[in-house]
Amino acid sequence: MKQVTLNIEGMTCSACSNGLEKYLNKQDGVEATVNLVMGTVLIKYDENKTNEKQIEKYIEEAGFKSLGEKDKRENRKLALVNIIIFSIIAILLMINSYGHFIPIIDMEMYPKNYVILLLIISLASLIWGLDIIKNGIKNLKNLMPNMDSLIGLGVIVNFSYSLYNAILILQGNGEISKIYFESVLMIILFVKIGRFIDKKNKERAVEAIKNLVTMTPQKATIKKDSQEIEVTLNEVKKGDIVICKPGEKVAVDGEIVKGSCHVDESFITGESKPVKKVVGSNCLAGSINYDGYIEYVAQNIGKDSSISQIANLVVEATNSKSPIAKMADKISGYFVPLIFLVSLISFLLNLLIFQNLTQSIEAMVTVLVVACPCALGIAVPLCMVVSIGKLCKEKIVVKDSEVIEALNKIDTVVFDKTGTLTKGKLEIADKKIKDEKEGLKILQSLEKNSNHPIAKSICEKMGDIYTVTNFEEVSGKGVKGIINNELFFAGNRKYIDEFKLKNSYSHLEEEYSLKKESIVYLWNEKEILGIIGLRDEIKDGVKEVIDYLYKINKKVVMLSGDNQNTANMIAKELNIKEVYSDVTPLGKVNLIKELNTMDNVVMIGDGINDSPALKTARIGISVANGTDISNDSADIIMLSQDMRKLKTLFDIGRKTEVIIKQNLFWTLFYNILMIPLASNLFPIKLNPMLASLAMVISSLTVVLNSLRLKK
Amino acid sequence: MQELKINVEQMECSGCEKRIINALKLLDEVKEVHTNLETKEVEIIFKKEEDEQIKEKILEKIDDLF
Repeated sequence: MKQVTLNIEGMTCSACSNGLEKYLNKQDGVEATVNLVMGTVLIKYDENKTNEKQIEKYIEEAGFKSLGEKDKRENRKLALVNIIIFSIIAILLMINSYGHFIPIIDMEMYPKNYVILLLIISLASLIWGLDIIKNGIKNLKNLMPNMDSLIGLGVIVNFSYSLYNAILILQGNGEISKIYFESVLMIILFVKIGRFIDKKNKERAVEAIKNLVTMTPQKATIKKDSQEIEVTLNEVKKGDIVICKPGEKVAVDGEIVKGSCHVDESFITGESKPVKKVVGSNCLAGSINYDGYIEYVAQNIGKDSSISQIANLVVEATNSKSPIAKMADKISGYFVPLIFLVSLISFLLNLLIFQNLTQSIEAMVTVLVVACPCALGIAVPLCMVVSIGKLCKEKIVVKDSEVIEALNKIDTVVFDKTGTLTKGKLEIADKKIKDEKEGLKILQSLEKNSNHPIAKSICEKMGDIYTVTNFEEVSGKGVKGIINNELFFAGNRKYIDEFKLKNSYSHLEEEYSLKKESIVYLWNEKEILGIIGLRDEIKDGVKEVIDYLYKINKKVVMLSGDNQNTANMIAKELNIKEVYSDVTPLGKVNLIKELNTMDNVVMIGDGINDSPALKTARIGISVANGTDISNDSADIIMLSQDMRKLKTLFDIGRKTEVIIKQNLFWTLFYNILMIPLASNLFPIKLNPMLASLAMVISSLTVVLNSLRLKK
Repeated sequence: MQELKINVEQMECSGCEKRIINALKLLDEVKEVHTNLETKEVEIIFKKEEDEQIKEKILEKIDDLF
């Protein structure tokens, strides 16, 4: 079996990467694993059944292109080397024609030699720029001209005209002033420089995001038959017992089966406070084990690990096109044919007015080059990539760039209470139960079967429990089950009211809820057995965020499945005026529907339990979910517990929109301003060289402006 | 028929569009391929008149991709 890692061009989303993997694995003798984030595929193949050439063909059949084993960085280096070589040639030429003190070949003395030299140089430039010209002509033939068509046509016209005059000169008849070979070089050079800058910056932003994945260690130690074996990360299988010693990094996502320790999960959550992990806790690939020896069973390996899933989401986001990006593309689409027309008009007008063919051609080429909307092409995408990267750094994962745009049209922010505004770590603060020990045991036995935050907190410190049969969770109300042949119930006031039992605990209920506690009753078919009050703490920074939201004129709403008193007390503390309590999961969905009439609502809650409501809102945000990424249906996943990140999110959203608008305005204004100057019909004149320089400046401005987002 | 219009529900992103175009163009009978991401429609233009069998071939090829 041989192994090779190939770079793949064309993978932008997980549908693409899964498709490629599936297709390759179908082929005889081929085993493939695709890495969307790195843009590579790891191929293990049987050299008796297939070879690398055949594999490259399979990749083509799947619709992609193999870039070979060469690293993307090497391709970039090559591009840079070419740019430097041609820049040096360009500089020498400029010195030669304008600085008469360092003549390399004297134009006057040896015009023929000079012409031949220029011809060779411009041919070399054409070969260097062949990809642009070919692409441009192809699109022009298909009647779908693009920017490359403008450049391609400009360069070809220039070259042809110069060639014609060059031949005349070689025959002894021509004028050296009609030679524009340098322009061919300059145009291609500046376009290449412009595109290099664009690509480099986009790649840099994506690299930073990819660095997240390289946080996982390359090797791991697994336990096999009481022996410790060191293996590579790829060799760890689901179900293996992995060992992690103090100071080491957790290799794969897993559940701890032995030992305990504190870990640093800041690379995901941004919080440097160590998190305690014990038997039964989940540990994340890439987290640092500070101080204990643990053994854990591998669960999500490789690209199923949380950190890989997050990196995948972010890479997909950088490849997504938001409405503004699509609009910019559309404008570009109309712009290009228009430019052809304008350049033709310039040509004709020049011919009519000045009756000079050379000037007319120069004007036409200058218009073609200067109006090229290259900067427009990167104005939005680069901005979005930088924005997504910045959000990623703040531990905010955005799944699609259109969400960043939509954020600016939000006017209502709906918060779920438990787990979002509050820490979700309820503690039993007060209780009154007949036969407390027994009552608690029954309660915990029931709640053990539920995933609700209240249930989890009740079972926090648990001793032995009873076996429960016929367990049932009643959504929005509570739980019930049979213990020792008796039917027991636990739940909220809404639930217990259905049973019409004599309630001698209502004064306690009132007392507890005034203390902002969540109420849980325990009862059987005959009587109420007790009541407990669970207290939840409001998260840090929440009040700050709500004040900020009011400041930027957003409406703030709180939803809760909890009782009215508790909800109101918390709302009062946070200054939230619109509160809905005792809301069922379906009720949450309906409420959001009512509020979201103009696609103006963002809901913040639990990515898995609040899924339907989150999906109903225009934008759904889930909080502090670093573990179950694949089931998280939110549009934005906040990995940190710090609610202040919400402010950061809105802030960045706003800044992104501002900078995008600046970019678009600038590029369009610039292009439109330059066209009359390029047409040679106005006092200020341009030539093709200055035009291509202007293009680079325009691109550079967009790039620099977009990078401002990083601050 | 000389052209064929089909719906490809799995076509989600522009990367998928390019893939479909690249892969279908490898077939000898195919002259041009046009895709519309919003309507999920793929239009294939053949070099000459083809019979119903070509549809099977195309659908199979697209199935392979996802």
